[in-house]
Amino acid sequence: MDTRYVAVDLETTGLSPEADEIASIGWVAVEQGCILLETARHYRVRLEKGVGQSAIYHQLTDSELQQGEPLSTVLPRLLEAISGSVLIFHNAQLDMGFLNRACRSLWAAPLPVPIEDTMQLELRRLQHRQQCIPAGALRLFQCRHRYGLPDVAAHDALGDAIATAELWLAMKAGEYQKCPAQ
Amino acid sequence: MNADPKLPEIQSVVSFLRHCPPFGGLPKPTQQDTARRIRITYLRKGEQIRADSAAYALRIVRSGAVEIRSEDRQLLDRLGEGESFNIHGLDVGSEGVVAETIEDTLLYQLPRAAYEALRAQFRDFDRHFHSQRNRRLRRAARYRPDTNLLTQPLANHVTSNPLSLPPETPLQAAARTMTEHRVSSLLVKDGEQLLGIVTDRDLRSRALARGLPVHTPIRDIMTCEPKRIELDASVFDAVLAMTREGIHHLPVQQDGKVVGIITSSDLMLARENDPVYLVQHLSRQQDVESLAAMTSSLPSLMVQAVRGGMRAHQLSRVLTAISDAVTCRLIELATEKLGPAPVPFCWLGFGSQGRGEQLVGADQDNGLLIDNRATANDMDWFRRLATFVCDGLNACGYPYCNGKVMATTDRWRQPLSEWRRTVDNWTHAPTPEAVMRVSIFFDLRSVYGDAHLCEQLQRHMLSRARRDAIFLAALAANVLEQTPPLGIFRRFLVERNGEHRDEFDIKKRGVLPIVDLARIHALAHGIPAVNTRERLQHLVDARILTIGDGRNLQDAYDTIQQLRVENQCRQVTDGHRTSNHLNPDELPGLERKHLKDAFTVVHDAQEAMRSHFRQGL
Repeated sequence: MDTRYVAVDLETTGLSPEADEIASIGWVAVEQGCILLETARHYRVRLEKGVGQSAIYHQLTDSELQQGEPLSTVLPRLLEAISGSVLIFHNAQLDMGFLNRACRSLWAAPLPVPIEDTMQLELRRLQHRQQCIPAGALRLFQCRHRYGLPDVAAHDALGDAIATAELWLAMKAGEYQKCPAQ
Repeated sequence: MNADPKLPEIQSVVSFLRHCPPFGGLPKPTQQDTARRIRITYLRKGEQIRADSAAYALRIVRSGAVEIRSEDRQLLDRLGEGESFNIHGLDVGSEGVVAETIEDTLLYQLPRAAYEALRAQFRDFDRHFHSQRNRRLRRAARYRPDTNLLTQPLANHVTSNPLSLPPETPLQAAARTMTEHRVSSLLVKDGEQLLGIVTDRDLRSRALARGLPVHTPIRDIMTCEPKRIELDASVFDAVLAMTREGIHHLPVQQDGKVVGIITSSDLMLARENDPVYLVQHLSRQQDVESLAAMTSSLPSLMVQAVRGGMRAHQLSRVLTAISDAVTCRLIELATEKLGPAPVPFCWLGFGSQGRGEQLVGADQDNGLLIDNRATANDMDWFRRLATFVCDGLNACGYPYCNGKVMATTDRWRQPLSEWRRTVDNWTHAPTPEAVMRVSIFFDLRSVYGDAHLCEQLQRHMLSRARRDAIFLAALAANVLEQTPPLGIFRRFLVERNGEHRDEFDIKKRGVLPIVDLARIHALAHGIPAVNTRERLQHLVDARILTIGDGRNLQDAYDTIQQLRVENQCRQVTDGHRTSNHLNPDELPGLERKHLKDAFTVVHDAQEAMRSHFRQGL
């Protein structure tokens, strides 16, 4: 079991990959059941259009985002970091929509990577138990609660990527040998 | 550490580290660097971490809980959120220490190099892990559960810093010093070296009886090279040594150095610390001074009782029985002085004394309820009674009440008819200020005298309070102002500055909200019990509270009181004044977790009450 995983999270200005933009990207690698924070990265992306409504939610202002780097600089770093790895998302559909669109516009090709999705894993688990699934029950921090994982004070792309990786570890607990001797 | 400026700030991890005791004190950039070195793992409940197989690292509990056990499975410590351990560091001196997750646990690991670098660079950080280990060992020692006096460690009873004098000291000077220090023996020392011991008996049989001159040096009458006992011996060992040798004084040594002395009267005193003995003997004291001398031992009695395994609710019963006994004896002493009472009366205990929930350091809350036949002259007798008793209580360590809820205050010393009118006034026009002042009045109990008077007053009070929704709502509003000190994410809210920085008042924020909740429900439903546990039980029996809610509140109450008592024991042992202020960071992990759970129960019950009494608000 030495597959390498990378948990990724995007902050976006909206829910539509066509109309909205990536505002920031965070990721962290998971090896042998161990989240390695030394591999954590977090980049602000310079926006072409502005943040609009969602600034309230992500607590970022347009001017802050203007300090970010262009997507064409950030994306190659992500590709390098995830090379040979399985990606972990919470709600992969949304984030992959943005990533595929970005890759297409830069290199005219989508991102062909294997994916694990903690939201889909949890959905299947709850359906399997034939539980009724209330609205919001599949949000990242609702899922974490069900595994006894703590709340987190900061919500940014990196914080959520780490939170997703922790959730994934909790889901897979027991399957992996813990951190090797360092 | 790579100095790449592109390295991110890991806010979510840093904001957690900031609240973990040794990390909070590190400079911000170091916290950031440290966060970047962390490796996160997730362990299911029941997994073990052993020094021989696990990587050398500092492990920080992010969520969940971990137990540390010695090789023989003795519990050394329990750790919860924010607490850390280094399994290899714990292993020093005791092989085979194991950490085991007792819940599913998210663990942050700081690899050896980063951990050692922090210890080398920051003294406080290093010291934290030093002292942590010592604390753990101490606690392990304390876990020996024995309540038998004879098996108790001697250390609890030893007088430290015993009186010592050089061998050339003249007899008379030695005798004078012993009298001044009120001791029956002294050690004869040459510098650090113990040469001998001189006791009262030696002064009598070896000096006076032989007519030695007062200038004779004490070396001539001392017992050379006296028998000693080790500090870690038991009381039993000491008694045995004394009876075998026919002596009453034993120097106590540790690592070959004399650290104290134990006498046969110390050992007798140890038995006198028994609460039953104390209650019995209080009633035989002839003046306020001798009562005060007996009550001065209450803090040490508390420590011994708690070490002996007594629970908080039992202890508060005992301490209330003692303050009752002191009050009764003071009333008897007053009657000897003032003559018999002109008309029947009842001495009332309010607040914690009324509820039977007193701890060490409680102030007095009392009142006098007098038969309606009392004349103006009679009332003067009661005024003098009140002054004598309240002054006496103050001398015995029950300080005057700040709110003047005392029999010396006119409105708290009245005939029954006046008391009834006062109750009517309170319930008819409940000003917030009045409500706050009178709430402890509703926890009343007859301590001395005609209990029938107290019953009549209580019945009247219950009938008034019960049917007055506005009064109950006012009482509820007042009660709900004090909430448990928990913030979002269940972090403790502590005072930010002043004398009690980083602490909260566990009585005000933890105990009283439960007491208040139980009181309001009891008043609203005409339940006469005043003890909080009894009130909760009656509320469950009457189906006013569900069994689950009642039990939760009772558990929460017991948990908080227990931590309050243990906190006071720590303060006594450390030589501090007892107070109700507690620093949550100094609690072991599981106790902290229990306290949070208890506070959550209180919070939920308050929310329920808020909606229940809203109609009247």
